[in-house]
Amino acid sequence: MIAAAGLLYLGLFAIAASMGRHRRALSGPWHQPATAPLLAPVGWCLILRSLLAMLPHWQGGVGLVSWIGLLPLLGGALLLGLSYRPRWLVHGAAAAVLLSLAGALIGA
Amino acid sequence: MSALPSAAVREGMRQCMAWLHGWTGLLLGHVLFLMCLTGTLTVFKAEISRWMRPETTASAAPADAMVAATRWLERNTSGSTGWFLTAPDSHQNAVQATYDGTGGYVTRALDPVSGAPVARETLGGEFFYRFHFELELPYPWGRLLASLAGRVMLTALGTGIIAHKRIFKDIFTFRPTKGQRSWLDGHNALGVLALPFHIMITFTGVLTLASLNLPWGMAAGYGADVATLYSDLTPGSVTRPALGEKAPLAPIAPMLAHAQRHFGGAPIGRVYVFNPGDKGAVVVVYPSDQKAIGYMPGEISFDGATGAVLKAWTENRPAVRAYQTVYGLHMARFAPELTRWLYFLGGAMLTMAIATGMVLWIVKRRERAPLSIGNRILERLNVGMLTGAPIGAAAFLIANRLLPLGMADRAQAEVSAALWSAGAVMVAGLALRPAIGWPVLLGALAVACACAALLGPIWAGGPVMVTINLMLLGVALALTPLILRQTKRLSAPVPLRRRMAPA
Repeated sequence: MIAAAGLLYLGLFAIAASMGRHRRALSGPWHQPATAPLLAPVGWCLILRSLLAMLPHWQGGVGLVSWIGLLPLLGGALLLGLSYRPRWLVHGAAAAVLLSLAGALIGA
Repeated sequence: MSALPSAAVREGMRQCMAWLHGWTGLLLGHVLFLMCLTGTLTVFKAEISRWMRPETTASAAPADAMVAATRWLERNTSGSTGWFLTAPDSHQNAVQATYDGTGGYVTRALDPVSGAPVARETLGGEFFYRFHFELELPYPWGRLLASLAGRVMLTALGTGIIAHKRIFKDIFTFRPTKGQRSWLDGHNALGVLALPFHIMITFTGVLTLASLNLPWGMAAGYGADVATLYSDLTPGSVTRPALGEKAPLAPIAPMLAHAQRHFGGAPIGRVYVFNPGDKGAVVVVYPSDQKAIGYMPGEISFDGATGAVLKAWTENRPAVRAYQTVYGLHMARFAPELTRWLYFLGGAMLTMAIATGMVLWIVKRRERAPLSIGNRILERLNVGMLTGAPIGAAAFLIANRLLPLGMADRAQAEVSAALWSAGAVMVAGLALRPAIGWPVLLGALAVACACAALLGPIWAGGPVMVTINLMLLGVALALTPLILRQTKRLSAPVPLRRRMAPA
């Protein structure tokens, strides 16, 4: 579930960064002309990948329910971050990369 | 065809949906707020029950606790028609028992070690659970209203997606301190970020009351023959009348051990004893439903007098399993700790989405033109209900700490305290000018939450006690800036209307 949470955050982050309104708040190297158009599709792929990362914890649907619960948690964090502390979100993305890797390594 | 008519159709459709969204939300919004608030609290029903019984700290294995409970009931009840026991688990430590002793049925928490009712008589989290779908109304009216409200909620969710046209574009947008804009942003975000959860919980919630709101299949198949319907629905159950001949209950521990082997090691969830003390007694054992989403996966019945197995049943019929899964999804008893917190978050967001929607209705109209008399009453009702319901819940917790232990009908007195204080706040909300009502009543809510946390044992009973106290203090703390902002606005000159009404 750790890897799924990290990937979901990254996916939502990429989608938010692709939006005109949040471009400035979430600015970073991903906004270079070559990568900017890829942000939204990559974001969706990461969200899908996050759902796939729940498969080992599926337990007859419990995994899917938990994942659906993660959505408002991480989405809410992004929303509040964008309104009050946008720079934290960029650090959060770095942490999410580490989390996803750690989660994938320990299989959690 | 030009693009113009289709755009007009789309806009007309959106306006229709916005109208429906507004009115469905308006008509049953307050009922839905009550249901969502109590439903959200019910996620931690067992933990709230623990908080409300701070003296009961002992714990025992489910089977041992059941043995203790039946032993106590055997000694202290006679001529009972049934004992319905729910075993302790990782969330609750007491045995939940409903039984008839002298007079009608009573529901008590039994100590897991001694089996006797615990000293602090309280409904605990069960109050919120019952309120969630019965609304303290007599049967079947409460359930009917709840199921109507559930369907209205489903309509409001569906129409909301169309009515709020930018929800997916503005999914991460919240612009604070901008009046109507902020309320709209908040309402959208609370609704859309947890949309899959909202749809799931509303849909499964409506289906838990399916026998009330979709009775026609049953009526067509069985008519008035409820007994056949019941035995077809639960072929594992054994119904036999009392024989009128006394016979002591056989030792229950071997039956529980047998049941546990039958369930493949899943712990005991519930034990029902029909006609205890009679030769025709039946003991039914159900496994715990914490292992999978599906509810009531099987049962095993024993002859109460001899202890012999009467019938064992594992539910494998796809339609029944599907219903049990839907039911289980709503009840969330399967959910591991983290998933429960996520259920709580989703529920809290739905509660706040409803509250912000109710406020938004007023804010939107106030910024356009002076409020009509109906909307002025609604504004005050909002103040009363949106603060009254949580104050009632907090009063329930405070009454639990303050009422003397030996008081007669103590559990009912706690409920009365909750309902009367919620009612009093409603009246205050109607009487006070909203500009004064909001800060005063939100202040009362913050004080009530802080009192509930600080009155009782703060650390006793382990992490559950501490966590709930911290959450109560957290609510009080989170309300403080809101209250301060409103009192500041109260002392400031009358705010300018942003948009004037057309002359």
